[in-house]
Amino acid sequence: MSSPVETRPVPFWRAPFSGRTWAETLYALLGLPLCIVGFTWTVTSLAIGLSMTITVIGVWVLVAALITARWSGVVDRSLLNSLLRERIEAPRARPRRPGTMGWLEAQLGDPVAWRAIAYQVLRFPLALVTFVVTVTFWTLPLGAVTYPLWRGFLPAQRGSDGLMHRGDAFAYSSGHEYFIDTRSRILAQAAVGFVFIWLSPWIVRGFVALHRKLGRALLGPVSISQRVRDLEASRTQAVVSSNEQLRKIERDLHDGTQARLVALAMHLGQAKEDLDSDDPAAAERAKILIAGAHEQTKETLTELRDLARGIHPPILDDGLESALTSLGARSPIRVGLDIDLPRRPSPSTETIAYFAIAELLTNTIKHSQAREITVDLRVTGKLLTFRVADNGRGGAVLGGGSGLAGVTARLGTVDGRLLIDSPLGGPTTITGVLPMDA
Amino acid sequence: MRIVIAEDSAILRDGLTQLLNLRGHEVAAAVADGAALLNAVAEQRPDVVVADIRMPPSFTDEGIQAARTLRAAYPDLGILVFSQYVEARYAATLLENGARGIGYLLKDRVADVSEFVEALARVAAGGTALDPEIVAALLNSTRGDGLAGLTPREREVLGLMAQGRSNAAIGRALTVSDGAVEKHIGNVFAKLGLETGADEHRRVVAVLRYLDAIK
Repeated sequence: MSSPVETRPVPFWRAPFSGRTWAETLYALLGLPLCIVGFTWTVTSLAIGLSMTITVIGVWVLVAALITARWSGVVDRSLLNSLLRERIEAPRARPRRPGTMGWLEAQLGDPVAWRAIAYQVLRFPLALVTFVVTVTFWTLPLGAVTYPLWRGFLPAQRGSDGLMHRGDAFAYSSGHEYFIDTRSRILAQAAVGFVFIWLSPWIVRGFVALHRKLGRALLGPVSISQRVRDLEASRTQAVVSSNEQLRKIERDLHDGTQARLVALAMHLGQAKEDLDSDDPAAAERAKILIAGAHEQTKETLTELRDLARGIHPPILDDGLESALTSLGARSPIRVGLDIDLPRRPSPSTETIAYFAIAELLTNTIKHSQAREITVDLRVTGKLLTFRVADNGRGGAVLGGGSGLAGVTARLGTVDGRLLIDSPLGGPTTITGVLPMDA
Repeated sequence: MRIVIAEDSAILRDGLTQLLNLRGHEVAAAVADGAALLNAVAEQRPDVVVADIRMPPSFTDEGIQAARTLRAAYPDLGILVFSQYVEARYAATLLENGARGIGYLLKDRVADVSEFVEALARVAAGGTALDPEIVAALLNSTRGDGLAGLTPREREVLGLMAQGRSNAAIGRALTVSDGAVEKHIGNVFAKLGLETGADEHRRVVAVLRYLDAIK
């Protein structure tokens, strides 16, 4: 993904005249001024921001530092991509929770910005060295080769040997100079310069390669291996949570439906035996048993329907809005719905969101002592955000065997997130964010 | 009979209690988990217990654990465990100290109320009641040669013996005379080379060991 564009290998002797050499030289020269601005701003704003984080202003300075760092990352990346023909992709934005606090949290915790800062800081010394090296190794050969042309403009000076010389002087020991003013010396220096015309591009290329490496490491998306690790973790989570779901379904079937059917068979068995006997009292008893069995059959049907709905509610096929409306209608606590879905999310997103909301409602009904619950659903860009809020007693925490851990795991399978805001005494707001097209 | 029931499903527990009362048996206690079962038995000293296998808190094999404890503490107590599924492993655990007063049935069997109560009475009296499904699994999993010499009728008799049925019950099930049953049983034991046991539970153990050994 972030490998440079395949370029035809240029023969060694043509290296100084290839476009790549010019581009790399230009990059090395442009790099320093850009980097000075970026580095100075980054370090200053970061230092001010960090040292003042205990105040509100500090936080905002920090946020400003991070935002500009992210922008500078964009500039640096496009410079690398255009001038050096790198193919560094823009990192993906992470889902964030809505509201000012959500925005702030996303800014402060944005890995893209922090990596861009690391890039600025690490690149500064590198850019400095690269600049000096590039200037030196280009002026040296160019000067040497063109020396015969401009030597005549140099002033004549008296050497330590008492004679007048016109030309470069290299001091080789105290009081002794070595003047480039004889034909052979001039030719020798030109020859050295000539060699360096072919050597310099490779030296510059070496330094620029370090810039490329740094850019790929810090300005692109998180490395594939990291992504693979994330996916592995969420896959494990998916397997575990589907396993748990199957176990729950088995438990429900075993404790509910099967037990009911056994009792039903037992009652009907007794009724059958009663009817077979000639005892009128037994016949009367059989009637009562059959009436009871009839009642139980109806209850079993209800239970089975609930169970089937727990596996996949058929109404979800009509969309989240219908499914949530029907879910809200079954709730013993009033549920206010505010749903704004300009387009339908993918079926898996709908299913995950539905069960997450259903679990949150169940939790709220069980524990919150709330009188009212509101559920709202919004689409922001490529993300679906749902919020379940209640006016109950609060104190909901992740873990401790709460259903919230299950919901978090459910969302985690599609890189979604769950945020819990539930101070003791309430109110509770739980926000979930997941991709629209999971 | 004085009976203690341990079953975590309230609807089944109540139904069973009602049914047993109807037939003139006394349900001394009806509890919902293994620990409560042990307490209830210590208090009530029933003739027999009916215990579900999967009960709180772990919902795995509480009933089997309770049965082992009860068997060790009360050798004469009849223990009938029942469950939605039968597991050969649980049967082996239950029978490790003999088949005396042990029953293991599918819950479905309560649908045939009279048969279920009969099995319960058998267990209470020190007999054995194994679910036909367990016996069938054992018979099916045995290699052909072990039972090759038996006639189809003798196989049927073997299956019923393994369930813990008495000679009279086997005769009723196959609608043959007691004499015919005895003859079949004699043939089975002779062909399989088993010791003829006098009482039924010893016979069950002999048959089960045989089936288990040639599996």
